[in-house]
Order: sequence, then structure tokens, then C-alpha cells
Amino acid sequence: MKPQANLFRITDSKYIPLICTFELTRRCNLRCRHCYIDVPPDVRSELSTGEIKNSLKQLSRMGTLMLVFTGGEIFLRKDLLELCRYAKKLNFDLKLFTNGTQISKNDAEELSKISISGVEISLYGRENVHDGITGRKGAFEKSIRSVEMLKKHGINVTIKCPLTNLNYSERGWIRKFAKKSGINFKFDPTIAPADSGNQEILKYRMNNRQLTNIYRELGEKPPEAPARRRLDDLSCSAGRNVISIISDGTVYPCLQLALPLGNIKHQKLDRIWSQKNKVLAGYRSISNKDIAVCNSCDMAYLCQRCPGIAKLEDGSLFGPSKIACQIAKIHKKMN
Amino acid sequence: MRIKKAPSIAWRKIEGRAFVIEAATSTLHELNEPGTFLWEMINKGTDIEEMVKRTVREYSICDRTARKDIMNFVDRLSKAGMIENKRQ
Repeated sequence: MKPQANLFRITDSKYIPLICTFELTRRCNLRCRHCYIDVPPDVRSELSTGEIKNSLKQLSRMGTLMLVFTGGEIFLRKDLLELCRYAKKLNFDLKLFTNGTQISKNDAEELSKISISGVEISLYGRENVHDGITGRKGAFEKSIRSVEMLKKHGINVTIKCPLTNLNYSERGWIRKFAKKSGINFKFDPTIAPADSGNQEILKYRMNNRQLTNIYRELGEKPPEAPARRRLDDLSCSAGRNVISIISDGTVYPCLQLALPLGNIKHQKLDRIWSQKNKVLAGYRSISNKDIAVCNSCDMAYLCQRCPGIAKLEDGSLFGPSKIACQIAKIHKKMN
Repeated sequence: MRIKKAPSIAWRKIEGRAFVIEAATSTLHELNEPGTFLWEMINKGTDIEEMVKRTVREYSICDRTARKDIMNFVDRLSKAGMIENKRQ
């Protein structure tokens, strides 16, 4: 068995939180139209440097290897470099998700010394489109400058591009830009409802024709889809070997699945992650028969249903997800 | 000679085995049980002589065999860019 498959098998069966997405802040200097964070952040509830370090120590003891710092905009935290240094000292594989507008030359130099695994920068297209989506004039120029600066310092950079009907026509430019710059790119066509449950941003989802074209261009596999544990199992890795901590210390099975399991300000992480936690144990016990509609669907083998998005779309963890159904239909036609 | 893990390396011991990631290439390596035993010593900055002594004790093998196996292992890690050698 290949190391990756073996690592996923072991951590999935033993509930070892191999992958952690750690949201350091909900503050952001941009106002992206499709952003799922629609509740104004309460800065007072943000975790302190000490609380984050303490959580990282606990995560390392529990077996977390892959760590992502995300936001909001993480470079708005003054202690970001200190947290990165600490995470590397604990031997995490560390990636940063950022909009790239707040990275200084010094940050790039320090990140290079810290030896992080990579930085993923959100980019939506050319200047007019990018600045239009982010709601900030000049955002494009700053993000591009960061891409070049990080690259110059030998840091792995990936362009991350959520695709909407606002930037659908920019995908060719993104591809060319990434190729010219010698960096990777990722498209994500799955726009999720806002955290508050507000469905307003779903109006930015691409239509059927646009989605079909995207999948034709990318090949048959859906990009960035939630990992199915097995083909015969509709559940994903959330709450098994995937864990998320949001900026106020609340622990979720996954950043996309807002199911509060506890808070690291008041409880030890291993207690929150234990089978004794009734909420978590209940979630882990969900099987195909609980997801009845999907289980009897003839497209189940193609489906990349995300339980978090399903819950946000219509309030049920057990129902189908509209976007997953739409994508599965496209794949069925393509096959 | 003292050996040090390369700064970009990420790793965790899970169910008795070390899983090691090279950041530059995102390559994941899984070490077997003796490899994990040696890797843990490298991570603690143990020098080669001490590693040989502990390996002889742990696996009941002779000094020569332990030294040869360790040097082979170190050589492979070095070629993969996973360690830095420091002559003392």
C-alpha cells in the first residue's frame, strides 16, 4: 500500500486528526462577493497567541501532520510569523491560505527561512474582475506582487481560484498566468452558502453550461471535491481524520461543517475529539442508510456530496446537496 | 558526525511508524519500524556513535552491521534532502 493510502487508512480508522484547518482570524481587508463569512467578526473572541500555541501542541500530540492556517486574512494577525515558526518547530507540514495583499518583503524572507510547505493565494482573474470581486481597488496588484515575491524566495505558491459566474471567463487567463509564472493553480467551482445560512451568494454559482465546460476542460475528476472515504461510503473524512478550529476556538469536524464539538478555550482538544463527545460520536456513526435519498441514487458512485454544504443548503445533514447533484449529473453525461 | 533533520521536513509518528513529508516536493515517506527508530534519534540530534550503540542494544546485532545499516539509511536520507550532515 502506498504511504498516502496507508496514512489515510490508519488515521481514518483510529480517528487521528491528520489534517487540521486552523482559522486564525475572521477579519479581512477584502469584501469578496462570494465569501462564506458573512457575520462581522468579533475580534475580542479571537484566540490569543498562547491559546493557539497550546492548541498546536495538543494537535501535534494527537497526530496532526498537515496543518493549514486560514482566515479571514491571516496576515492581519501580528503574530502570524511567530505561529508559523512554532508550528514548524512542532514538525507540522504547514500551508498558508491568504489573499496575498498584506505580505511584506520581510514576511516572504521569514517564511522562506521557516520552510513552510506552501502558500495558496486567491486570485479571481485580471485586474478589473479581481478588484471587482474583492471590492478593493489595488487588490490585484498587491496579490500579484506577493506571488512574485514569494516565488523569488523559493516558496511554493499556488493560485486558488473559486470560479463563479463573475469570473468564469477569466479561467483561461488564470491558467496562462500560472503557467507563465511557473506555479500551480486550482479551480474550485463549489460556492457554498454563507455561514449564517444566507443563500444570497449562491446567485454567483455557475450555470449548468459553464460547469459542464469547466469539467470538460479539467478532465473527468471533480477538482477540490471532498474526499470520499470509500466508493461505497457516502461520508467524508470530516470528524474522522479531518479537524477544524475556528477563530474563537470552536472545534468543527471540518471548516465546511459547522457542527460545534466544543471550544479549546474551555476544554482539552483530546476530550473534544473523543468518542465520549456525544455530538462527534453521533456524527461519526452516520452511515449510508441515514443518507437515504443519496444512498438509493443511481449517481451515488459519481457523487462528491459535502455534508457541510448539504446542511447549509437546506438545514439537513442527511439530505442531498444541490451542487453535488448538479455536478454528478454533469459527470454522468460526460461518462 | 551529528545528523540533523532538514528544516523543511514535517513528520509525525503514527501507530509506531514515522510518516515524513518533504515540503519541497510534497512527497510522503513511510518509514518501517527500524527506520522509525533511527529517525527518532536523528530528530533528537543523536550522533552516529550513540545511534550505533543504541541500535546494537535494540536489535541485538553486531557493531559492524549496525554501523553499515545506519550509514546506508543516512545516505538515502541525505540523497533525498531529508537531513543535514554536520561533521564534529
